[in-house]
Amino acid sequence: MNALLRIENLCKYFSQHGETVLALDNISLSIQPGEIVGLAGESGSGKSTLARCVAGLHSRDSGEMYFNDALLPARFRAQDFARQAQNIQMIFQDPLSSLNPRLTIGDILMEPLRLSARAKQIRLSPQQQQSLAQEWLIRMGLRASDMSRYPHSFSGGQLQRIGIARALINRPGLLICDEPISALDVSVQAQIVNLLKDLRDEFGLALLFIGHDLAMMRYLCDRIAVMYRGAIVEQGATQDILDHPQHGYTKKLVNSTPGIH
Amino acid sequence: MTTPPDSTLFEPLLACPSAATDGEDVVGNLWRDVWQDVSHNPSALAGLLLIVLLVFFCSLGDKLWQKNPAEFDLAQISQMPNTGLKTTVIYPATQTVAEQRRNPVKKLQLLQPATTESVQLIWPAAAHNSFRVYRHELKPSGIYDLGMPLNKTTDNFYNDQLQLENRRYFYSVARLDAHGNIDAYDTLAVDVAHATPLAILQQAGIHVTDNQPASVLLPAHPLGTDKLGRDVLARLIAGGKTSMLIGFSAPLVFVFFGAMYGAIAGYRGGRIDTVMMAFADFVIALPFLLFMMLLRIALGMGPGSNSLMALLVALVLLGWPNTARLVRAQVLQLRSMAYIDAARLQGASGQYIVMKHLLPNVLPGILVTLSFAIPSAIFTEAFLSFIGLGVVPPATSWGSMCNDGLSSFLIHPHELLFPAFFISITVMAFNLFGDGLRDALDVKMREART
Amino acid sequence: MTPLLDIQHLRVSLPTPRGVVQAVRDVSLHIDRGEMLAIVGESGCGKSVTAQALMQLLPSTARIDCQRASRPSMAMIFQNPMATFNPTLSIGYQIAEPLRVHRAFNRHDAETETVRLLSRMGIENAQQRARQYPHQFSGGMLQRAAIAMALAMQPELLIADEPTTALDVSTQAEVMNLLAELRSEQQLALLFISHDLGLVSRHADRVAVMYAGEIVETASTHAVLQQPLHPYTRALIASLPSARSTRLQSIDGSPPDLLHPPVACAFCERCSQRMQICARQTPPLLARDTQAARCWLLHPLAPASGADT
Repeated sequence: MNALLRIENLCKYFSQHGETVLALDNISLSIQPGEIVGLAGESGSGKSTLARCVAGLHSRDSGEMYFNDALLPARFRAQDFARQAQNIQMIFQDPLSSLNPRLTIGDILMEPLRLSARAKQIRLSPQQQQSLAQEWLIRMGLRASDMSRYPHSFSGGQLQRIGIARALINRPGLLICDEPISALDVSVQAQIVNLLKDLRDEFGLALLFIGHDLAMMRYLCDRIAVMYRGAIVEQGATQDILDHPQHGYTKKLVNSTPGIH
Repeated sequence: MTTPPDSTLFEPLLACPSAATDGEDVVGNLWRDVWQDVSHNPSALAGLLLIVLLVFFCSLGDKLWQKNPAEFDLAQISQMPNTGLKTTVIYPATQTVAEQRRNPVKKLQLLQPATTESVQLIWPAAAHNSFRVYRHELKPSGIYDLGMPLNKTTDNFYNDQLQLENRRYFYSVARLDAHGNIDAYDTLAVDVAHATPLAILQQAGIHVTDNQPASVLLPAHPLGTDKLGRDVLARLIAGGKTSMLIGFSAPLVFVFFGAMYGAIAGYRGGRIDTVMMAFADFVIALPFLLFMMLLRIALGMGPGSNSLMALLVALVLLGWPNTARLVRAQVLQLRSMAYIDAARLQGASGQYIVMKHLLPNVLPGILVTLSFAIPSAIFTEAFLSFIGLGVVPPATSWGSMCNDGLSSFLIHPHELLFPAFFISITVMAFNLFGDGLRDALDVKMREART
Repeated sequence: MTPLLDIQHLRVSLPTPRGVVQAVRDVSLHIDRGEMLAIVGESGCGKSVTAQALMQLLPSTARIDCQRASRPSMAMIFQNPMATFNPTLSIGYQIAEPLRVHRAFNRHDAETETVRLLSRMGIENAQQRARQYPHQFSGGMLQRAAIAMALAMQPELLIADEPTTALDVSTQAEVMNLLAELRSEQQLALLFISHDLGLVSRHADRVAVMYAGEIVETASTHAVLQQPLHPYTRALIASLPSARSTRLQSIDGSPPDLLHPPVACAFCERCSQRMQICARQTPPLLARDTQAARCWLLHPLAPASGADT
């Protein structure tokens, strides 16, 4: 089976105060359709940078990225985003700042529909948009009447579910999850993780899940890649990585995670 | 537990009565919340009320008080506020002063009823003495407190025509000895009546009937007149129009432009941002007054020409960078928000993101800037008109009225105080409202973030 | 032995623009010398407010009622160590300052003591490190320095409010180990506030589970994890992933709004085993062996199956 996303020898440099820092060091990773790949590592290890590179929010300096065997541009412009909007979407760590506080939930959910309709030059009637947005809202466990409310009247877990609905409303093949549960309470984390798992089963959605909680990643991910200082030091099936870590850093990470065994 | 619970209470409960009022949305629309806050803030509300009153005053005032602000009323120069003054008509004299003086007098007295046109004093003559005539507005308390010396004469008559007001004066006539020291003096209290020569009344267009009435009623001036006899209220309304025109139009234009400029610079970032903000810094560094004067010259305006247009252009050209800086700083902050990334991932164009996501979120800040830019523009106009770089007669503004009133401030303070009062009130009203708005928005923005 | 810290029936109300939040509703705590008590709960359950009330750090507008309180000397460390330090002063100066002011050390002694404290916290080159500024320290280092600063006052009780939440897992383990060492070495009592049951299970002696401003269950760590009595504790444990979990249990609904705290059991709405009484009366803290929970299921009249499933 062909990989949904294939990253080959990706490098990314940042210049800070005139110094060039290697943020991503020769990353190679692939994700199959419907697969959940976890990206573990400490803060500053480059996992968020990698996520943003895959999404196109960061440009890459060398290496290739293929989505369904089509080469993704090194630097995304607005029209590239519009083309990839149906393929790759993302959810973020802070659920509140990922929703515009000035827009109602309805407007937030209908925005991707409008933008994609405009890109494809098709007309989507307001009723169609409305009903599709409502359908997703209910699928996420919220109520249809929440369409007219503003983000700050929802809890973190609800906001994250709205963020997921916005990302998935155009049915992308890959969802990048940039620490989507780190800011949430434990009981809410379980809701979100269960939801993501259900969505994978229902739509064959592939996930690139970034986190630092190995216990949660063991539950959710099919495969795990461990990042350290901008490089992937170890990757493989979740079971193998967590039960028999090879790399010294992975061992340290596994040992310091409470309740993993 | 004091009362033992009975066992039926331990049956399973299927539906739990919901305590939370989940249905209603307590936090809603930002503007509704902000209005809630502002309407509970007395000073902001007072500011808003004042602004409404002032706008009403300037826009509809001339419909209610239909008086030409440029019309001279020579019958009433520098008149205090009044509701229609009764004036004695002075007809061309039938009897000369010399004829009236034939009869000798025994003490200081008036030759004719005192009017604002003239006060004629006569007193007993003395062959070897000279006299000095004094005028005082208060009752003299002694020989050194006789007031303003008007004249020294050997005659026994004096005609005072020096800036008389319709009020009570104390005239003193002192007899001087050979060394010029005061020998004796006599004081007379005189109530001066407002009077106007017939010719001036006719010139001012006031109809005097043929049966020669002793007095006529002059038109009312609720806030008095200035030194050219122009109605202060009518001029305040006309001047207010100028102030409001400058005060609203210039900030509206430059805040809008500055917001767009700052939003683009902030959103694009990088080199574009550096260049754009360097230019904004350059504009900030330009000295306003010098720029304004050079602009007048460039537009071919000499001294004394009406430079309202130049003022407007200068305010717009130099006013925008502050807004641009503020909006850029906010946009830089907002740009890192995840919802901007989310919009980019959906394929939104830069223009769409700026218009739909960035500007609505900096709008509160823009409005606060605007509410502070308006009084500052009004004040700038007043200041420039005051120093003679703004509007010129017959057009007027509060600033130029202050300038006019300054020269006679000690004698007729109302000519300066009324326009100065209006400038202060306007500036204060906008600042009070702006403060309230800023406080309310600060709270709401913080609540939205946490 | 009388406990080191003993707080009975603590209540805290905080005025906010939306109304008065009853953040802490009847909390009783006790900690012995050298003991580590963990308060566990979700955000907004009142665990941080409890700590701030103990340290008297709440704004003057807060209303604090407490029936009985014996307070030892206390110090506190916080979630964000960066905010603990003034960025314009050197670390050494900030640790030495309380020594000079409160313990009357002279400059030289204070400096020596600062270096000793820093090196005790496992900071290498303490002499040079003391002269550095907060931004030159990593997050983990800074938290160690914050602990050094807290211990400079020789407290009997250290309150740690989510001290490792902002840190990476490996750093987190190091800081936790440091706290454990200090505890055994100095008979230091610890009040550890966390949302992370996993972390708590490794280190704490006793656990108090907080929900909606109340302590709903308290017992030894082992008992709470092995045999939780309160449905909320059970749900919380079930929502944690473990090696054998096939599906995580999540708790539906959300905690009650403490602007209008519930009149009866606060967990009633989200509880799967609720009874008629749960919606009518607040349960008292009912004991079973060494454990106690605020749940009607422990009442003798309740169906026996309740607490054991």
